[in-house]
Amino acid sequence: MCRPLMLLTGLLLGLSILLSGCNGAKELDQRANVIAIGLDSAEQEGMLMVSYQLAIPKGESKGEGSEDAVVLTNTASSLAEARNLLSSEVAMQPSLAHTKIIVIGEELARKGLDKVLGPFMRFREYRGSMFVVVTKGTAKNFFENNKPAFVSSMSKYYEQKISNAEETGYFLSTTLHEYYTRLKSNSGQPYMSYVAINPQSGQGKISTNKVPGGKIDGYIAGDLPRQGGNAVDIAGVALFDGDKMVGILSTIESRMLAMLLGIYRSGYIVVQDPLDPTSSVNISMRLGSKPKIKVMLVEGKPMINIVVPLEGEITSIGSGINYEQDKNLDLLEGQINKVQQEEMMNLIKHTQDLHSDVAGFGYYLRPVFQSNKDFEDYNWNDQYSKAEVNVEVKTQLRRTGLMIRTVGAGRAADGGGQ
Amino acid sequence: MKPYHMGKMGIAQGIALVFALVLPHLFLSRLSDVVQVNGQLSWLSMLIYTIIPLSVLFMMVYVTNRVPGDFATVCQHLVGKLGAWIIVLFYIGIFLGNSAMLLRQYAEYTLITALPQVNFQLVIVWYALTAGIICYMGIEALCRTGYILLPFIVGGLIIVLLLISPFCVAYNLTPWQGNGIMTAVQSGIHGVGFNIGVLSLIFMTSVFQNAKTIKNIAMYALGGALMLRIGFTMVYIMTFGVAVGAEKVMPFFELARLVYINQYLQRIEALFIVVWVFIGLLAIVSYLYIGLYLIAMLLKLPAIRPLVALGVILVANLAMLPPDIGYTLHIDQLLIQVAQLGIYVFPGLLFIMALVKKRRKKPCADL
Repeated sequence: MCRPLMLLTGLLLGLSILLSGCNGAKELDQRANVIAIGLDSAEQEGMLMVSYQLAIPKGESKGEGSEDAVVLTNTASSLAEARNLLSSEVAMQPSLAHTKIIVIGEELARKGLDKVLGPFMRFREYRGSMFVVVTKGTAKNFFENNKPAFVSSMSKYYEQKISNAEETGYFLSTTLHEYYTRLKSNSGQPYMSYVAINPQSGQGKISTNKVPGGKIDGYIAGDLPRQGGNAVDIAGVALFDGDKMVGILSTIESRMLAMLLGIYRSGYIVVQDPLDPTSSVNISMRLGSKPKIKVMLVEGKPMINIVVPLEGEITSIGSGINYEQDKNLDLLEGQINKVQQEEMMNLIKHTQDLHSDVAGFGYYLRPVFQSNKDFEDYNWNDQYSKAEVNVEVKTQLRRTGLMIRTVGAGRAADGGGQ
Repeated sequence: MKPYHMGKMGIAQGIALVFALVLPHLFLSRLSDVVQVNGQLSWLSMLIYTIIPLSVLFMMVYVTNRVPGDFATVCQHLVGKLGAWIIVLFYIGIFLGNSAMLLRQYAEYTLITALPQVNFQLVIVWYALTAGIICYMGIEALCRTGYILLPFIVGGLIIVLLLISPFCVAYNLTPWQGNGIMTAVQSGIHGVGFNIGVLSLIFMTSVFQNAKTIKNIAMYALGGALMLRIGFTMVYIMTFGVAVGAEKVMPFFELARLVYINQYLQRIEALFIVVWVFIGLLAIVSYLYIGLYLIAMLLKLPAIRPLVALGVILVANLAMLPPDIGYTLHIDQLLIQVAQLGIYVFPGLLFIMALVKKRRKKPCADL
């Protein structure tokens, strides 16, 4: 081998050892991984109360039953300063690269998040895939009372809990990316999941009453009528007008929002039995397809036409009436359509009153305009409240569960099943 | 010593070279500027600034077919010695300048994304040293390396675009005229500097097989780059919208770090850092090599290897001159604007002179 080539090979080998990156490596037990960040207004003007929930490495915990996370709260003028203070409080080097969730106190959310969430989009340790939620009360209180019962890791708890949004539609998972892009889109308003610590008295507080024909009331987090388990509720959705929180949607309204957004996967709905009002019928419902939404301008005024196709499976008929039959099936589908339509209209009315197009109807209006300037000049977020909305729900009950008919208890012996 | 211009390379190597020269801006802040100016109609701007350099290249192929010799000789024949020096020096400046600004940007983004604790000079030196070694190996090694890496670069890009699809909102592509058709057309006309790298095929005519090979390379490379650019930009706009899309420093990195499939498949941007490091390094080397090649051609040197160390030091020092990233981006933008001269003025002049000389010759031929 010629000499220059040998020298070059030696140089490259030497460099690959020296620049392998191991010099700057940090072992897991040298890092304090922040799982969650809480943001609250501080008592002092212009200050923030920043809470960090830090994971305790398993090797460092005190054995079975000990907590796997610790909460530290700093009052500082900015997130950067709060992090500086955190470095002085823990033995390990704080790392925000594995943060799963940002919990924002309701008071701060109502004041506005523009200046607070800015750094999250700029600093490389944060990422758009972090979940964001608003909590009733303070984030500090939320962390202190959050004692998961079923999962061993706090990090897994947050991911698992938020992913449950798909199960019922009673809350919607929101990431920082979704919040931020909505905020800047001019085509809709941002929203976040709403969380709270439940007093667990068993005495709930209804936020939205059931509509005629419906059997389910709407609640928000902290007001669910329950006892036992982890005190944390995630239920409902916090609405924003720009960067300021302006209201909360109940569980029922959140489900309607999920349907409008086309992200509703499945959930049980309960309606009054059309032929026996004292009984109820349970249906496992999902979207047949994404809702068909058309937004147009009629003499300059927005008109929104929505068709929501639903598909369902009957899971319980309390009265025993045979809704499996064609005629009765139509009756039941009509009942579901009526209830869902009314609930959806209530949701839209609620959001119009709050000037918060969380369903993102503005996106559907964008093709009507030719340029961004035209669309911005129209100022959709101001026009949304004036929009005329028509909702049509089309339900098809595809399946009847594991039963094809209900036979009365006394009729089986005398051939009533025929 | 082997001559540095040999007619050995085929279409695949040429495509790799042109890709390396025209694609890196896709991974850098320049895309955010394009999105801010043109909005949803960025694709039109990209189409225009691809078609124009392609047409210019075809014009130049016509010129080099008419006049024998390397690019400097062609220029000298058509516009005289002084004219040839001005033209070749201009291209040397553009190519070495691009190499320096890309070196600076890739060094900065390496610090931001992967190695925040590392000393800035060390990153510059590391990139420059690697670029120097590849450059020393010669154009064939460079192009063949690019050819091998190309499937991984394009594949990585496509994988990220597929993984990000759950975040796409198609309505972000409307209003379809974005910030206006005329704005996009103007931006496309002024943006031709993005594709000035395609002219390297003209500078290095003797390295490739023949004129047909050069035309094929230009069409495949610019066409492929256009498709990638448009596809990437559309997904980028669908994901972030125009407003947020205009804010990002590193569009590709931002897309990659947003990927979230489930609890177990997320935070995978580190896997894709190599994609833009590969293309970035190839781009730095390619611009450096072409710059040095033109110097050697202008000075009629028998080899470029002795120039490599000097070139690397020059480029590394130029890269370290701007005081901050904002100023670097400003200089980069300026280079792209100045590069318009290299697309519109000089090739136009050479083409006209070639036509004039052909006309003057005709009566003689008739006689």
